[in-house]
Amino acid sequence: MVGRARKVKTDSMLPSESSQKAGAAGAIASSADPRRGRWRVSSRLLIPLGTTVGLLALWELLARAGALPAEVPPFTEVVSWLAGEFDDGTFWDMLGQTLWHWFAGLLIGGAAGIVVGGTIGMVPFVHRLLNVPLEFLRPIPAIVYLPLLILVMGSRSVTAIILASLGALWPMLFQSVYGVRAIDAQVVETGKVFGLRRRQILWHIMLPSVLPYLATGVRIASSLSLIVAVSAELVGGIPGLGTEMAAAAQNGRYTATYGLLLVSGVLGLLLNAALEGSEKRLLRWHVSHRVVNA
Amino acid sequence: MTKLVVNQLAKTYGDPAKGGVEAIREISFDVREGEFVCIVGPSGGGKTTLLRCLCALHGRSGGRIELDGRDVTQPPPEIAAVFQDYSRSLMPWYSVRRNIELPLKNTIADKKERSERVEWSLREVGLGGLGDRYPWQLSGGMQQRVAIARAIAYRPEILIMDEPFASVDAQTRAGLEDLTLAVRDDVGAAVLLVTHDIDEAVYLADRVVVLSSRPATVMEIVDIDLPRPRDQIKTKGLPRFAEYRTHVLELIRATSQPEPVSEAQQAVAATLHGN
Amino acid sequence: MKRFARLRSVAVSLLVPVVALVLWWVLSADNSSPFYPSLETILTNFRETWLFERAGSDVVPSLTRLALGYLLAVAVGIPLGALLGRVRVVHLALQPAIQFARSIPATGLVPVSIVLLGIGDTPKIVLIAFVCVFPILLNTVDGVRGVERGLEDVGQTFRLTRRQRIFAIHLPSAAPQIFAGMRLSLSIAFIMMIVTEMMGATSGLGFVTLTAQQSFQIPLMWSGMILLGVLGALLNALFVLVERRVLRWHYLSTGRMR
Repeated sequence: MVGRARKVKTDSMLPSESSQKAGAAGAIASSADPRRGRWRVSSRLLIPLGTTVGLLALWELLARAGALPAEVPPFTEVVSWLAGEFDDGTFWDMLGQTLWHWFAGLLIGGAAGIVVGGTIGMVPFVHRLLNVPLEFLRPIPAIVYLPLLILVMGSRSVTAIILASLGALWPMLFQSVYGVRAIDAQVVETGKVFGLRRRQILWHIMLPSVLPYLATGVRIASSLSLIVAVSAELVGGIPGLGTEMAAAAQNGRYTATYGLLLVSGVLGLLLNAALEGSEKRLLRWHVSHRVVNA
Repeated sequence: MTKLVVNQLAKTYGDPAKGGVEAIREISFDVREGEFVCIVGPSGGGKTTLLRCLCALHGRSGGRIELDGRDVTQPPPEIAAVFQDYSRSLMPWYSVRRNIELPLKNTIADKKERSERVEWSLREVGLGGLGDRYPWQLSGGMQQRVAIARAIAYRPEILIMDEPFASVDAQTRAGLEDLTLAVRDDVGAAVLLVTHDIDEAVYLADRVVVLSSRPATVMEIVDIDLPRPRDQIKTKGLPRFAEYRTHVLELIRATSQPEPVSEAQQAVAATLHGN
Repeated sequence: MKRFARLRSVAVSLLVPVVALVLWWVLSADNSSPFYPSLETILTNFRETWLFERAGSDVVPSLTRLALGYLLAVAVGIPLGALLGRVRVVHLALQPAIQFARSIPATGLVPVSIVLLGIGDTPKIVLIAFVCVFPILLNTVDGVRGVERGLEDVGQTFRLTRRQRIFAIHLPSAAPQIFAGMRLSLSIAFIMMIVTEMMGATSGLGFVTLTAQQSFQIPLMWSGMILLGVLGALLNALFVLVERRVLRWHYLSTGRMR
C-alpha cells in the first residue's frame, strides 16, 4: 500500500522526462477510474435492486394467485397494514419496549464485559482464576436462564433486560480480553521511554489498540442482545415485538405476523448497518494507523 | 531449435484508448530448446507482468506468444512455474507429497507411476524422504525447493521462475541457484528466470534479456559466453563475468536514472515512513 | 518443580468452580424458599429425570433435531457460499435478500414457522437449518474470496480442473473462516432448539424445562436448566475438538498451536 501510494505521488511530482510521461499516464488512468467506478456502482445498485423488486413482485403475484398457503398474505397488504400501524401509538410503544430491552441489555452487559474482560486481560492471575469457569459458562445461551428469571422476576421488562445483558456480556468480555492482549508492549515501552504519563499511555496508546476489538464486540453483542430480547418476549410474554408476533400468529392475524416479521428484520438490518458503519470507520483508522507504522 | 517466440508483446492495464497504464511495450525475444534465459530489469518494471502474460494468467494488449509455433492463449501444459512467494504458492493443508502430486493427477493416470515421479522430483531437489512433512514444517529455502520439485515433476519443456530466490537469505540463495542449474541439466527443460539481481542473471544464464523501466522494453539481449558447469567462486571470479556484469549494470543504470529529489517528495517520503 | 507449577495452575483454575459449588450446596441446604431448592434435591431430580426416564423421550429427540437442522445448514451453506463467493452476479443479486433474512432476530421466525408448518419435527429442523445457514454461507463467501492470488496462479498454470481448484484450493483455504461461521451457527442452533421447544412442542428439553417452571415443579426446572447448560458447553467442546483436528494445518502453520 505504502509502496504503491508513494510511487504514484513521486511520479506525478517529478520534472524529468520519463516520469512526466508516467505522471501523465497516471493522471489519465486515475481519471478513467471513476468511469469504471460509475459502471460498477450502477450494476452494484441495479442488480440487487432488480432481484429484490422481482422477489417481492413474485411474492405478491403468487399470494394473489393463491399459489402460496392461505396464511401468507400478499406483500402489498402487509405494507398497507404496516402503514396503518405507523399512525398507531401502541405500535411505537411496543417497538420502543423492544428497543429499550436491546439497548439496556447492550449497555449493562457490554459494560460488565469490558470491566471483567479488561481485568482478565491485564491481570494474569485473574485470568488463571476465571478461565475455566468462563469457558464453561460462555457457550450456555442466555435463553437457558429464562425459566428461572420468569419464576423469580415475573414477565416484566427487567427479565428481558437481564437476559439481553447476559447475551451481550460474552462477546464484549472476550473481545476485551483479546483487545488488551493485542496491546503492543513495545509501543507502550516506547511511550514510557519518551516520558509519557500513565494517563497519556492509557489514552493514546492502550485505548486506540483496544478500540477495534471493542467495536467488533459491540456489533456481535448488539445482535445477540436483540435476539435474546425478542426471544425473552416471545417465550416469556414480556411486552414487546416478540410477544406481539406470537400473539398475532396465535390469533390468526397473519398480515400482522408478516408485518411484524418485516419490522424485526428491518430493525436488525438498521442496527447492524449502523454499527458496521461505525466499526468500519474505526477499522479504517486502525488500518491506516498500522500502515503509517509499517 | 526455437521453443518459445515472444513477438512485439504489449500489455496495458485499463483501456489503452483512454490511456491506461502501459506495463510492457513491444517486447520481442525467443527461448531455444533447453536454453537458460534470464530477464533482468529495474524493480517494479513490468517483469512480473511479462511472466504472467507468458503463462497466460492474464490477457495481453498486443503481440504474439508462440510455443512450438502455436499461439499461447491458455496456460500451456508445456510450461510449469515457480513463483516468488513460496509461502503463498504451496498449500499449507497438504503434505509436500500431495502438493507435488496434485497437478500430476491430470497428466499421469497410473497411481504408482505418479508416486514414483513425486519421489524422483523430491530426490532431485535433495528433499528425498521429506514427502510426509508439511510445507510450514520446512525452512524457506526448502519450501522453495518443494515448489521447484512440483514444477519439474510436471515435466515441463519450459520452466518459468518469477524471482524465485528473492525471499531467501544469501547463503540459501546460492545453493538454490546451483540446484536450479543441476536440475536443468537433468531435466533438459528450457528455463526462463526473472530476477532483479544482475549477478544472479549473469551467473545462471545463456542469454540475459535486459528490460528498461516502465513501460518495459527490451534494451539489449546479452549473450553470456561463460564456461559450464558454472561455479559460485570460479565463475564469479572470471574477468568476463565482471565485464558482463558491468555491462548489464550500466544498461539498468541508464534506464533507472536516480532522479532529482524535490522537497515535496522528501516530505511525502517522510510522512510515509512515519518520522 | 515444573510438575508442582502445573499442579498449582490446575488448582487455581478449579478454585472458583469448586468454591461456587460448595457455597451453593451449603447455602441451599436448609433453604425453605420454594424457588431455590437445595442442590442435593436438584441433583437427585437430575439423576432420576434425565439419566433414565426422559433421556429417550426428550433428550434424544431434542439433540436429533438439532443435529439434523445443523447438518442441513452446513450441507447447504458451504456449497451455496462457494457459489456466491465465486460468481459475483449471483452474489449481487441475492445480497439484499440474504442480508435481510440474516438480520431477522432468529427466534422471531418461530411463530411464523408454527403458522406455516405446524409444530412437528420437520418444521423445527427446517427452521434450525434456515437460521443456521446464514453465518456459514456468509463466512464461506468471504473465505473463498480471500484465496491467495499465488494459489490461484498455481491452479491456473498447472492446469487444475475447476473441480480440483474448488476442492484443493478454494475450500481448504476458506476452511478457517467456514469453521468460524459453523461455530456461530452451532450456538444459534442450540438457542433455536430450546426456543422452538418452548414455543410449540410436546417433548424436548426446552419443553420440559419451561412447563416445569409453569407447573411449579421447581427442582425439575433447575435440573433441566443445568442439563441445557452442560449440553451447551459439551457441544461447544465437541466442536472445538473437531475444529482442532480438521484445521490442524492452520493452527500449526500460523503458530497458534504447538
